Amino acid sequence: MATLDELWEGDLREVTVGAEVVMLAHLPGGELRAYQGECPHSRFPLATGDLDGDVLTCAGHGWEFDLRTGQGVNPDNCRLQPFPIRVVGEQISVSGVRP
Amino acid sequence: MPRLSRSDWYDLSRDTNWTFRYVTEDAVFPEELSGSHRVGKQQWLAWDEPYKVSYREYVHNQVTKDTTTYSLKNAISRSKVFDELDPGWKSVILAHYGAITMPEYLASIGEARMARFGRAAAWRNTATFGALDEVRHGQIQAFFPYGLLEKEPRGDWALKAFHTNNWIAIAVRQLFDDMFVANDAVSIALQLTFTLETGFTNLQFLGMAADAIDVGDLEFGALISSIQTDEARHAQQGEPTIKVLIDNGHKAWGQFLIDHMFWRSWRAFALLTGLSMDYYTPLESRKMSFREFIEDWVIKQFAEQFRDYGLDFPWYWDEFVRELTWYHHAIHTVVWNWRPTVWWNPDAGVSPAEREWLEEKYPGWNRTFGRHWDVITENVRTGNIAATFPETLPLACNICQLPIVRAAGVLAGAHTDPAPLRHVHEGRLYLFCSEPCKWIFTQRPDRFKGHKSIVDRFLTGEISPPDVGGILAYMGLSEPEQGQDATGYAWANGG
Ligand code: FES
Ligand SMILES: [Fe+2]
Ligand SMILES: [Fe+2]
Repeated sequence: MATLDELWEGDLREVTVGAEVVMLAHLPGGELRAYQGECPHSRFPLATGDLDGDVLTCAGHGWEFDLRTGQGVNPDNCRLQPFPIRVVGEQISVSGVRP
Repeated sequence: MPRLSRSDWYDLSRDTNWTFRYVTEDAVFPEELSGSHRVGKQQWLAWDEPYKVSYREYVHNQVTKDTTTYSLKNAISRSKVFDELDPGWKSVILAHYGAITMPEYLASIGEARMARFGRAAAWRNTATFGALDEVRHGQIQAFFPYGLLEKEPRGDWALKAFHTNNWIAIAVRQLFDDMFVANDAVSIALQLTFTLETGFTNLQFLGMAADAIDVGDLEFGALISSIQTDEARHAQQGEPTIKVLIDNGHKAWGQFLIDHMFWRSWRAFALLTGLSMDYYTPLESRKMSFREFIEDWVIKQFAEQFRDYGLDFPWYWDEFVRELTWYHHAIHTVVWNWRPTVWWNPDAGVSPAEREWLEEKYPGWNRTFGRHWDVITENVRTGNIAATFPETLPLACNICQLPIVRAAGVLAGAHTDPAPLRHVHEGRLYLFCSEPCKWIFTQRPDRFKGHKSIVDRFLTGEISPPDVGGILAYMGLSEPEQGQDATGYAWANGG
């Protein structure tokens, strides 16, 4: 999928897992997250957004999401679909099955 | 000074409101302009826009967008990009500028009406940004085609179209008067922002921007995506408004307004986007057919909204879905036949390769519309161009103002009777293209009864001399402005 070397702290990256487009995020402090790759607003690729701390701002129209939880910040009535993530050694892998 | 985060102060500043002591609530919010009296004053306070923005953030964002878009334009306008664009694509943008620039500006009136007569402070605040957005859209879409004038004088139809009686202008003007210029705040929120913007234009602008980049028109692509980012924000006014209506027992009224405008939006879309996507955009840049676009984006989006708000699909849904297979093909044929009456060059879009694509996307196209184009192709090949122009005006619908093309519907198996639908109101006969257009009229005849279609005007002697020359002059088209086949009939000769 990707290695820790390719996804530094503060980085976002889009990967495909089976039929799913997934965004990988390496949050400040070292935690990893995987969410749906397309913005729930108008399907912009979330990985092209801006990560400031834990908050991702979509490049489309500025919707904001807390990537620690997936919860929408603005607007706060939506959330990102998470995907299970596993790290073995340097290797990051994501399961394309929605939990 | 510590910086407060937006959520700490936003609601307080946004909800600043007046208590009226010298005037009545009714005098401040007359029902004709507000449309909000079904729901009590207190209940409107629940209105809450999902995506929040402060004035400072708004201005900052807009300045950034304008700077980026205008500087891109400056860089490109010194190049030869426009000359090298596909002729069909040039028609896409000319049609767009003429039909859309002034309505964007007029939409600022609609937004301003919500900013003044919306019943919640939060709503008025959001609509204020919307009004500023639409002024920007009017200006930027007048300025960009102004830059084309040296190469394409009909760029001036961005301003001119709405000041003429061109039949497309009549149709678009009648639609937008109904939707926002002569509408109340609540209806504007449901009909302009919820139905048209969220449901159609927002999605279409996304697709158009991508197509523009694909055909190499970076200028138009940048313009459209810049506009779309505003549209996406102010379009959200529909959601909280429908929610307030539903929570207070007025779902039926909301449903009525949406049913009314969904059909009208579909009609306008079939005309403008349908032709662009399936006939004018160069084949190699088409990512999906118009039908696929409506199915994958528009229908999906509406289905989600209908589900989220407990609304029903409009009563004419089956008819709408059936029309996806034929209606815009019929309109395309009429527009191409009547090409001198439009300010762009209609692209027939029926070269052998394009016909193959049409048949694949619309199985049966060859059998119905293809046959018609066979005759035209034959006339072009034998040099009989005169035979490709029609002699009589098609009948026009008294709601959508578009040609009545039920005969094509019969060919496509969607209708059994080619005759227009008829309705007499206060002694005047009105004609309609479809049951939904007739329904829209008969629900509120006072709203529409005074309007004359282009054909009514012709028949009552407003157009003189009553011939093709008179019609073209009435529509504001001098000879060099009249549309011609976009590729000089290249498609007919196997090209
Ligand atoms: S697509 Fe992400 S904010 Fe619109
Ligand atoms: Fe706009
Ligand atoms: Fe708008």
